[in-house]
Parts: sequence; structure tokens; C-alpha cells
Amino acid sequence: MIEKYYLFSELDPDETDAVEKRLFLKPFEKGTVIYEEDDRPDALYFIQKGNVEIFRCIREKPLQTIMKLGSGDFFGEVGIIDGGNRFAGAKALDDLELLVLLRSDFDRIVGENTILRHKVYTTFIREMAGRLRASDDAFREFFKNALMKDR
Amino acid sequence: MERIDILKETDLFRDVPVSHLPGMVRYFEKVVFKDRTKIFSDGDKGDYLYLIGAGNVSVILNIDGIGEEEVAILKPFDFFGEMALIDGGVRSASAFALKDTELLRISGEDFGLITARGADSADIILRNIINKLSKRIRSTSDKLNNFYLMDMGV
Repeated sequence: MIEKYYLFSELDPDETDAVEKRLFLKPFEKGTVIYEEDDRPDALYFIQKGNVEIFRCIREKPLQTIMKLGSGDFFGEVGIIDGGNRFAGAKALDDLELLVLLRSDFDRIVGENTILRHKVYTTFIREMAGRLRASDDAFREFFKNALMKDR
Repeated sequence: MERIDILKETDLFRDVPVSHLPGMVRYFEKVVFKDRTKIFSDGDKGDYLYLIGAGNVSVILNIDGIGEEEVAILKPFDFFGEMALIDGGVRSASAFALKDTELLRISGEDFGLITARGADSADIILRNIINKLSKRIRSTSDKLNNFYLMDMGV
């Protein structure tokens, strides 16, 4: 069930079992906010069905769409790893089915199995680097548009 | 500053036992850049990850047809250039020395060795990189938010 997620794509069947045991399925209705900016992060989410928007509020208005994610993607990793609060909110764009991995279970999984930890960290890094490149592009794009407008 | 003393202080090796550092030092080569010289350019192939021993490094995003925006000034013991090593892509920004700057660099190949499964402290180093990437995701988003605010004239 979880092989389709990039984060787990390199796990062998035993490792996959160890992770699956800890996951649970949770539905969210369209429009629901899954978590908000500045919340304490308690879980990592994997999208089984539906689409999710990662957004930030500016003066209490949800104005900056950071990214849209769909089936097979995961989100909520930033606070899980560095221990800080949520830097952005997550909202259900459709009726959703999410697989939830609690932070305590994530810590347990990567804490007890060194091979699995290495695989998960390696894929995590690649995924995050991809997202950073996308956000650098968004930054460039924003700048370009803002400066053009002034001319 | 000796290479090992830079390794002891850098964020890349935070939490790595000091006893593991002598085995790593040989992968790091010291390079010196004069004030205002270029370390690498946007679009270059990413061959090395760099640690700052002394001096400062300015990271600049080039915006097509518009100009340049300085997105970060890095200080001693910061590391940079990891992105292109991770995904094999090109440099996403340019880096310049501010002041005379002393760096240690490690090649992508050697970096693969010290972070390979089973290597001493590989997971700790990977974790430090994840932390750095998540900080950058946060700060890029913060920066963008500030620009949105400015753009709205508020």
C-alpha cells in the first residue's frame, strides 16, 4: 500500500510492514484545514486520495499558495524533522483520504532500524531539495512579476 | 585554522562524535577566495559542497532579464552547495566571497562516501542536511511572504 510513496520507495517488504503497522487512514472533508501555520507538528501525512493545498496567511488571509499536492505525495515533514512549529497550513481541496504517521511513530521507526533510517533520510533529502528548487523558482517568478509591474 | 577545527564547528557535523572527524578530514580540501571573487555561478554543474572556515559568502539569485537578488549572507561554519550534490542538478544560485574567505570543499563523490549507508555518522550528517533544508524551506517562504506584504502596499 505504501510503495507508491517516494519516501518509502526503497524499503524492502519487512521495512514496509514496519511502517504500515504504524499508519492509519483518516478522511477529511473538502475545505477542512488539516493544520494551521504555527501549530505544533504531531504527524506526517501521505495522500491516498484527493488534493491538498499548502498555504500561508498574510494578514489573516490565505494568500500565498506554496504548493498543491496530490495522491502519492506527502506533507508535514518540515516540522517533524526540525522540531519547529508548522511554517504553513494545509487544507483539503477535495474530499481526502490521508495516511497519518504520528511524529512519535516516525521517531520510533527511524530510531530503531538503522538501515530503514538511512533510506528514509536519503529519500527525504531528495524530496526536500526538489521542493526547495520549486520554491526558489516561485521566488524568482514573484520577483520578476513584481518588478515588471513597477516599470 | 586547521581543517579539523573547521569540521568540529560546522553545522554539517553537529552531533558527530569528535572521534569520527579525523577519518573525514582527508576528504576536505582547503580553498581560498579573495574578496568579491566568484565561487560558483547559477547554472554551473555542482561539483562540491563547501564549508566556511573564515570570511563570508553571499548567495545571489539571478532573475532572468531583471537582475540579482541577494538571498543570504553565510558566515563561518555554515555550509552551502549541497543542493546540486543531492539531486545532481545545476547550481540554483551564485556564490561570491565577501572579504577574503577560506573554505573547505568536498567533492560529490567523496560526499557520497561519507553519507553512504554504514559509514561513520552518515545518518547524523544526513539529519543535519535535512535540518538545513527545512530551515531554507522556512526562510524562503518567509521571504516570499514579506514580498507579498510589500507588494500589497501594507
